[in-house]
Parts: sequence; C-alpha cells; structure tokens
Amino acid sequence: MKLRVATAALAIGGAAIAGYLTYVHYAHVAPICTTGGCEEVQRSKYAELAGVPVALLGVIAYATLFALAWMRGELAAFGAAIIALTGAAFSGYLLWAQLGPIGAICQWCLANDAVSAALAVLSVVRLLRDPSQEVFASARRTIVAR
Amino acid sequence: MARNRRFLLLVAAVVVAALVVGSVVAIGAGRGDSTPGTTTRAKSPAAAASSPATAFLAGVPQDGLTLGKPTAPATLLEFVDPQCPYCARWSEATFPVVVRRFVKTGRLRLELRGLHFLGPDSETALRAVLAAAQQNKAWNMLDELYARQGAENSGWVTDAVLEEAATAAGVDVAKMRAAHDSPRVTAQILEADAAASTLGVPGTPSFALARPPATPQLLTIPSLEPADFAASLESDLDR
Repeated sequence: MKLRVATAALAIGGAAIAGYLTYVHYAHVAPICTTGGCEEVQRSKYAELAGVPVALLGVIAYATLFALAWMRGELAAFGAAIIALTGAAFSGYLLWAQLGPIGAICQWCLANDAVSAALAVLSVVRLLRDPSQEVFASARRTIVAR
Repeated sequence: MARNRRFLLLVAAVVVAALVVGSVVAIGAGRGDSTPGTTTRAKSPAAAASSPATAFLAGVPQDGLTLGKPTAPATLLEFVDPQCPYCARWSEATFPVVVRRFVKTGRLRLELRGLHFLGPDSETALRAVLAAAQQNKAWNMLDELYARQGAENSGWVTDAVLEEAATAAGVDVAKMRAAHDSPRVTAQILEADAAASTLGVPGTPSFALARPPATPQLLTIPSLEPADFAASLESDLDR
C-alpha cells in the first residue's frame, strides 16, 4: 500500500511538472528558469514527438500511473512497470540530448528525470514484491475451477 | 513460482520499454539528418503554427536586418539561404544559445546576409524575410520559415506558407507582400551577394565577425553544434 501511495504522490508531482511545461509550450511563453537553458530545450526538436509535445505525453503517462497506483493486481503492476520504465528510459534519452546535441540544461527536465527514475524503481519493486496482488493467478484459478 | 513469473513480467516490461524508446530514438535520429533533398524540420502545419519558434527573440531589439543592441562592440554577419537545411539546424539548436549568451548580454549583435544560391524557392523565401525586415521582424520570419522548411526547390515556399510564417512571426502580411519585390529588397540581395563574394563565403551557413574599423573576417567554425559553436565564438571575440 505504501508503495502505491508513494507512486501516486510522485505521479502527481510529475504531472505538475509536465503540466507546466505543456502550458509553456502552448502559451508560447518562456518557462521560469534558473539554469538558463529551459527555452532552448523546449524549443528543440526533442521537445516534440510527431508534433505532440513530449510534456503532454508526460502528463498522460503520469495520469495513467496515478490511476494504476490505485488499482490492485498484477496486471496493474505490470502496466505501471511498462509505463514507468518507458518514461525513465525516455527521460534518460532526453537528458543525453540536453547534455549533447542541445547543449543546454532545463531544470524542469532534470526534476522530471528524478521523478521518472523514482517511479521506475517503485514500479519495479511493486511488480516483484507484492504477492497479495495476483489478478493473473486468481483469474487462472477461476478458469481451472470451471 | 509466482516470483519467477513476476520476474518474467519484469523482463517483458523492460523489453517493451526498450522497444518503445528505441523506436522513438531511431525516429529522432532520422529527423536530425540534413542531407540535401530531405526535410529537416518539417512539421505538420498545425504543429508549426503552434510552435513557439521565436519566443526566445522576445525583448531583443531588431532594426532591419540587425538583431541586438546597437552598442554591441562586435557584429556577427550571418550568411544564410532560407532553404539550407544546415542553416535551419543551426537556427533551431544554436541560434538561441548565441542570442542568450552573446546578444542579450550586449556583447554581440547579429546582421543577416541572405543568399539564394539553392534555387527559386530560396529567392522567394529570402524576399519575404527581407520584406519582413522592413517591419523589424526579419529574424522571426526567417526562423518561422525554417520551421516549415521543405525539400529543396520542391515548391514548398507557397503563398500559404509565407502567410502562415508571417502570421506566426507577427509580420503584417499585406505590408510584407507589398515589399516582396521592392527595389530595396533587390538591393539588399545584391549587397549580400557582393559581401559573400568579397569574403569568399564557401556555403551556408557562414559567419564573419566585424569589429569596426577593421574589415569583417570570415570565421572558421569547427562545428555548428551549440556548445562547440559558442566556444569557438567566445574564442574569436576574445582575440
């Protein structure tokens, strides 16, 4: 339960960060920035995926993780792990882009990277260590019983 | 048994995540290619229209073809062709860095020298940029055109693209159209051609540093990537 509460709390934090960056994108305003490179990062080709702001994709991913945190079962844990691991790997790619091709650092992206990494760890732990949530197994037992 | 199954699920999750991110990275790498005849920054019109392509220029003074404070001790002449994919790439990744580090700090101002050697679409686009310069929006217009850049001489510089870019750049479209074929614009094109010839500009983008009363010097740029370009420019300014 603690794992899922922590996951939900982190998902809210991540959604807040991604939501702010989505607002910045569509409002055409410069983000609040102490690292000096947020605008460059936001304006780079890495900030969009097929025309969709990656920040918006982040909001969707965090909202899904938040919902999955309140769902019981292995299926929910499995789904959360896929989303969280994908998010963490993609954050790593974006961190590489900031340090390399873009040459600028965005504080919001770094905060997102931290949240994303933490969510990946929590989701993996949840998938491996939560024996009470056996939706797959219980479903299989039900099928066998029939 | 259940633990083994969960471990297999974890492996499956890792594989799915790797496949998704790998695909995205591959698509992103392909998007960065700048070989002639390919589109570098082409977006859907809606995406291009909603892109804050020139937000970083807000508050930076523009006067005709110049960007930055008139009191800046040095001027960087930028030779570009609106169809040049490397120019678009530089503008997308490096230009904001130059503006932030050198122009906004008053150390440098930029001056546009538009060339049109790639073909007819270049001249049409360049004339629109120079027409926008009469409204002190040349840099905005150029960047918005880069954001919509298509394959060379594919006819991508349509009236609709010019109008869309001008609107996004905050340019009065009617005034821009009126100035498009004006003698002043033609004169600016000829001046840029002459300056490129005098300096021996080998291609675009090229850069020359002017520090009056010395004559402008063509810069040798090792890389167009932001960090390398900024370091090289820093070194040139310190000389």
